[in-house]
Amino acid sequence: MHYDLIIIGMGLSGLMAAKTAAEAGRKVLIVGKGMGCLTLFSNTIDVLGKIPETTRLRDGLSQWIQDHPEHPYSKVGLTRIEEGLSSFTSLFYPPYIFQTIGDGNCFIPTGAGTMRPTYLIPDTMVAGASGKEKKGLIVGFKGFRDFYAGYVAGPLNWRGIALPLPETPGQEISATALSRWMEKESFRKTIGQEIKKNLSGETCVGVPAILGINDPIKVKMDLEEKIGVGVFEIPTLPPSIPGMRIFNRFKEWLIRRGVNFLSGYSISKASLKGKRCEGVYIHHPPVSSFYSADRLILATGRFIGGGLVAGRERISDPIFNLPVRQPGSQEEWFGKSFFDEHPIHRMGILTDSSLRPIDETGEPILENVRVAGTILSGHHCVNEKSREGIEIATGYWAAKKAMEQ
Amino acid sequence: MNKKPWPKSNPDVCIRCAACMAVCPVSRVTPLFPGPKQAGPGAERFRKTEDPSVDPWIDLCIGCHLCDLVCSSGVPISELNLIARAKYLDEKGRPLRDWLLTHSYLFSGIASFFSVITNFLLKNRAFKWIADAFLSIDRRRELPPYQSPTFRQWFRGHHSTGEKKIAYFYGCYINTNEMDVGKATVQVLEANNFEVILPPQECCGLPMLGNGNFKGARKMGLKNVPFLLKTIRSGVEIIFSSTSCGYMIRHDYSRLLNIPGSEEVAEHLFDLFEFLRNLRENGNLNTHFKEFPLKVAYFAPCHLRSLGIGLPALDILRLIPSLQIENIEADCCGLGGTFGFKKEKYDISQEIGKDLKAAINRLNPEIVLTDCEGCRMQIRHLTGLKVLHPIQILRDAWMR
Repeated sequence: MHYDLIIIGMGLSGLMAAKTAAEAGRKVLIVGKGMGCLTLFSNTIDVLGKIPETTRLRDGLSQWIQDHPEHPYSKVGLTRIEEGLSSFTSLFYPPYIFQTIGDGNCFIPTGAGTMRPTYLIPDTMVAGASGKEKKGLIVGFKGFRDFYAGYVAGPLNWRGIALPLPETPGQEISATALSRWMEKESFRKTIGQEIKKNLSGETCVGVPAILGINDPIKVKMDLEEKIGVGVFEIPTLPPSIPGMRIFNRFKEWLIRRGVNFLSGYSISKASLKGKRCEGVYIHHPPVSSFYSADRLILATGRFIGGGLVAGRERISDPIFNLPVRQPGSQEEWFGKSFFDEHPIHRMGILTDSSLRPIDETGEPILENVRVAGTILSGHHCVNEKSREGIEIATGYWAAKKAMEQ
Repeated sequence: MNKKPWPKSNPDVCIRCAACMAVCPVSRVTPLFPGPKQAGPGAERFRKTEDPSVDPWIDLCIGCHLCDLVCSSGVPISELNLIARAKYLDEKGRPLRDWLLTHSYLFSGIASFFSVITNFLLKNRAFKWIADAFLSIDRRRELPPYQSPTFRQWFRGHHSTGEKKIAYFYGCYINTNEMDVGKATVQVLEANNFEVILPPQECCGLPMLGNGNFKGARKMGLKNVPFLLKTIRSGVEIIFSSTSCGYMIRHDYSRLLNIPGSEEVAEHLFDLFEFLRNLRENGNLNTHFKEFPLKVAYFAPCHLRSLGIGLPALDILRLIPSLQIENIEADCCGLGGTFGFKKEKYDISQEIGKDLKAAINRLNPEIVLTDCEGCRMQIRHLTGLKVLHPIQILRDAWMR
């Protein structure tokens, strides 16, 4: 099969690239070894959480771009970043939409008991945003081990309770099972009554982000009606239900647009001819299939998604074996805190301003390949709180640039 | 390559990320199954070949492969589960029911010949009650009726002509229970100038493999592969219309069952719509379709997704003018081959099915299309709607 564009990687950057190309009417194949990391890390859309609390995002970004010329944001540029973000938000239609609070970052409570800055949040989290001034009740569920109400409530000086689940007392329950129950009116009735009984003067209720997969706004509004105060979701441990909603929405949209969507298969080999990639082999034992393309986008993520692999001495990209920026020796891979500017986050693929992979001298290595997402070098997305922003902006821009070719 | 008869797997490549927990249809509906992360790589680390199995919940894995498809670390989760299940069932012993459900190919010929009597019995409440009480085959489940003549018998009286030859692996169910799917396949291939031939064939063995009976499944594979090898070595490629049989032959025969020659067969074996899509890619597909104003919904079976070829039926059906076709946004149908017939699993099967039913209701189609016979049975059972194989619609949309 031949495609205008093959995208390798099914995370947010790959999905954004696929959307951008499909919107322009191109024949697209998106292939991922797994389903990407949306269901692991993402709940909301971080763009640049590191900037001072009161700064407008636009000003913060523009300053950031000036100060960090090697950063992926600097390659994409402010206007394109904004275009990418609005392309992302346009995918979601009411009632489940993504929005900002004001024109900067907002702070939302997390399952780890912190308030974290983020930019775009789904409607289900709005009532908890910048909630320090409010008085809320945090509700967890016995048997759901991925969320502890007291842990979240403590630092806020709120109250946290754990409710027993009516249908499976004493058993463990997964996030997806709990989400599915939340979609049942009878379950909401029991839980709603229980929460209402436990209210003592609180004006809002925070629950783990499990308010259903298909119609979370309906679940939220119905619960609010039953309890009598506002309800909001709090991001917690994987699997992330809000991340699944994003993934499902992309998947639905892309399949409807005729994009070939292959999850579960890794690229065994890229076929290179001079400075061009002619296509890729997908190996599904015992069969190997070749897919050719005019252009390709590499959006395979970092270590968890499998985009970067650490051997004994060096870190590499297993598909194109592109140069990866990394410290000279393995001794320098280590740092004290993973969440600070840890050296492992420094590693990534070098590109020019149009996201083509380059060698140390700045020469493009492959003319028809672009690189998008967190696999790029020049960022510290964990520390900057910029993961989704980088994925959206570079996925969008890589596809735009690829189509110009 | 020197391969061991049993698959070698390494649970330690699992990084515990929980992507599989996001998609498992079983752990979503019942807390009795701990989900793929724990049941697969988690529990595997504690299993020793010489120790007895300790987790009866392993038998609740429905075998949909969805966990495998989302894992970024490449853990063969459903394979780990299947091997653990096989060991558990070997130790516990299998009821007569499991033998009956997985050996229907032995009596389907007679059942089809006496279809009037068979179908009377299969619908008879007393018979179903007995099957429920003594065999634990749930009486709420419809048992598929048999047809006479069989597809193969029909084909014997049919004179297929075309420029090139193509072989067809139709599978048991098409032969005795839904022969129109076979007929439609033959008609569509002939409309594209192919002469259809039917190589000798037996049940692919998937029902046995799905029930952890590796030995029985391997026996079926050893019977089929020589027939199929002979076909491809005479220069004829093979297509299948049942995605379950197709997945079994293309991938499980070599990877799980180590059947000699199966790798060569896999290279020349195609899904029917994958084959048609290749024809189209080369400009050789007959696309003389008439206006076909119908609202249909398409459901991608688990084994089709596991084939890793995308949704070729959807790609082809979209060429039909005026046909309104939407993809159903749901994962497993819940039948899981023989899983949903079993009394102790029927409720789980139905709970999984409810999510699919809700997704179908949102689309409100006139007809539902899906490539797998199991999914067709389950969707009929869940919705009461007319459910067809996509090839039947393609045949009907042809300009004559």
